[in-house]
Amino acid sequence: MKTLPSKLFLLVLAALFIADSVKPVRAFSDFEKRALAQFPRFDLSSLIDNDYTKDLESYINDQFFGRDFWVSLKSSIETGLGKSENNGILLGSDHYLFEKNFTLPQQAILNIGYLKEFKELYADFPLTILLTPNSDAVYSEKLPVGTPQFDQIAQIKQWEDELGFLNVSDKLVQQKDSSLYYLSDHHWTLDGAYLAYQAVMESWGLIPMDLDSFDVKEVEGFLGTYYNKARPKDYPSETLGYIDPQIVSYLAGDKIHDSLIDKDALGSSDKYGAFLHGNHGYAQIIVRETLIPNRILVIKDSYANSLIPFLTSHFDVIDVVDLRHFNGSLKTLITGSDYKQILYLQNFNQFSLDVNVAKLRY
Amino acid sequence: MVFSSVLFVFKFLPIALLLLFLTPKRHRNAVLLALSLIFYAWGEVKYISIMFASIFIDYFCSNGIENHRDDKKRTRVYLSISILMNLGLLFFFKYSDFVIRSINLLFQSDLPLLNLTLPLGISFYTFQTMSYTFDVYRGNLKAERNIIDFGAFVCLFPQLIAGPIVTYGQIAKELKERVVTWAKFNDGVMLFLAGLASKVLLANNIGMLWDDVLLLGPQRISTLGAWLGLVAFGMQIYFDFSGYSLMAIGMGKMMGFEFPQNFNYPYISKSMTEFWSRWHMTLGTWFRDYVYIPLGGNRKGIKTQLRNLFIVWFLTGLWHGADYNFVLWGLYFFVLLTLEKLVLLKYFKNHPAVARSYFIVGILIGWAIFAIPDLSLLGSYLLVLFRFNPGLDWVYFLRNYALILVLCIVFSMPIINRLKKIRWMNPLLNLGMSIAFVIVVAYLVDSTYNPFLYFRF
Repeated sequence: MKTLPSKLFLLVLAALFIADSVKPVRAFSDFEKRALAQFPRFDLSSLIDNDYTKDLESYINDQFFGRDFWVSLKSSIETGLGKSENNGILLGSDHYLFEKNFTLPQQAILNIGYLKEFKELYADFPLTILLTPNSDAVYSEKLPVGTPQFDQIAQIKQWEDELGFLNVSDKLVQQKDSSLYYLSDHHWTLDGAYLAYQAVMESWGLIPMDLDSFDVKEVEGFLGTYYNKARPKDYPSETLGYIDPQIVSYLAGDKIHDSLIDKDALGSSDKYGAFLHGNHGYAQIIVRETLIPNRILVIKDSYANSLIPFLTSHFDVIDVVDLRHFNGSLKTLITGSDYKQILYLQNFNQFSLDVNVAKLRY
Repeated sequence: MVFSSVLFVFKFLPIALLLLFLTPKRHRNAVLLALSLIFYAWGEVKYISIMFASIFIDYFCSNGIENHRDDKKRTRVYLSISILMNLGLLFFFKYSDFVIRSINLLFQSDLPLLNLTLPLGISFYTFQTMSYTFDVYRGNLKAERNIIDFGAFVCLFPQLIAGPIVTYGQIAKELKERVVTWAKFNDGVMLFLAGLASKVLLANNIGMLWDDVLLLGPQRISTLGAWLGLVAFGMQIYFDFSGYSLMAIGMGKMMGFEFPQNFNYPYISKSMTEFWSRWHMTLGTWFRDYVYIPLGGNRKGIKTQLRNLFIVWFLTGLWHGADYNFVLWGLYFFVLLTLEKLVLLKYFKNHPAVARSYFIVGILIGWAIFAIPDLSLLGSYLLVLFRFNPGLDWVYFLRNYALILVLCIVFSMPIINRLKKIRWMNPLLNLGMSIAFVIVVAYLVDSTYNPFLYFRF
């Protein structure tokens, strides 16, 4: 009887060992929304570089017997402890979820340098740079009490003053009563994107269209990336609004679409991915066929995906570059085309971690 | 390979146990050696050569001494080779960049750094092999003739990477003949699980508080937050380090070894002197037996004793990491321990509350020195502790970490040990351990935060 614990322990070890050896290997976890590590292929050089053992260990962890159960057990415990964060996501009031960021990453300093260089290099071009705050900065009062969150808005303001960026934070903060960001996702809502569109248009001396003049459609049941990381209990899903303006064609990667909205994605769990059919290194929207088209270039991250449809009212051709997937030369693109406007748009969190901003130099 | 991983607990350990029990007794050390080498090579494949070098050097030197007992000169040469090679390895891999940086600082030069990864556990096993050869030289031990048995001692995987420091004499008998009974095996399992829970549930979870505080830095942290951060770091390093030791001792028992105790509730101390008799006990013993006493200890007057203490604490600091703050940390304890020896301890005898407060503040400041290698950052951090800085970050920290902090404080006192003595409590404690183990598995599988603290040791 006294030695029962160790016998049980051996039994558990043996049972888990066998169960883990015979269970099927999964490629993707629906539960965590990510690809799982696969059995690494052996070669001597990866063994010597310690990559093989590392990969093998990720494989064992990702494919461990009952992984989904263990992951959800951990998240239940974390919430049960009354914690106001889980997996780097802060649980704010009124169901607001935020990304936890206490400091400015080093990469942001580098990236500001690249942006500055970029601005100087294309001083003769009609360039507008816009860094948008994230939800935690606009809705800071919803953060858990005392959260020493990094002050994005102050930082953006400082950069705006130094480098002449377009300010959109003020507008967002003033109008925050109409939900400008998703509670469960790291993106802004259609309303948020519309406000930024307004600010951009005004800065170019153009008259923005009324939001009512667009045919806004909605889809229910949206739960975003913050939700998937934090997995809070009893969480309400949200409505995702979008517009689907008339276009001639949309070239994204090697596919041509007749709409900016991926209808299949609207029905999937990655609903925001419907905008522009996701992110592509280079994409081109032909809004209307004209002899001398009015062209714009947007260099962007996924925040722009919900804003770009608004631009179809003002431009005939919209070129879209996402530096994360872009391997061409911006210089060739910009100097080779006659762009009326060039818009650089990124959200703060993405900008401050994105190593691809360096590609602005090529 | 680290203990607190799915790989170790659910793959390596079951295979290792199975192989060891299936192997006939006379081949067990060979299997143990092979397992230990795989364990060691897992994280840094190339460094396995250092392990082989370590084994061969001390095997060669100790047998050289044994074979030429009567030739004093020759034995001294063998001992010198061992010490030079061991300290050479340790110095090269651990301290060369430190020396280069110091030279650069002193002479404004620009010598390039080597940027070597520190071989896992090198500070532990070089100490073990060095003291072994020294013991053979002193005649306290007979040299091990079987290189397999000797190799198994040098890279014995349970205690290879984070102690306890086991001297050859302590396990010489068990290397030849080990008996595992169910009772002993059971004790081993319980210790292993306790250690695993310490590391995964307590140390990792409280460690995140310290990481947050460090991220904010002394410019933004409030005074209360800064103190909370130090408490968190103190708890993290204690449960991490003592957890590793418990896992080692537990696995040792499961295989038939008896490793020495390494931690004995250090935070209930009432002085630094007491703390160091309860914290990382095998390191203290090692420095006493192989540095302090050979230097003359306290037998040659107070002046020599103070010199010896200074040397021991300078080295103890440096052993914990190749940076100035670690030296400072060692000397900080030299000063406090000397003060205690000369005046404070007598006074503390009649003033336990004062002693306790002094100890708590003193140990927390010690942890600040230990945890912040950047000396200017350390300076501003110490300032924040004593110059009031308002702010509400502590509300956030308490909300997230109060419960885990309370658990840490409870488990840093000998409460479980007392409960164990009550007969009817035992099934409850076993149940508690089982629940803890299930939670451990969840945290191992979903391990977003599982730092390895001994990369500097």
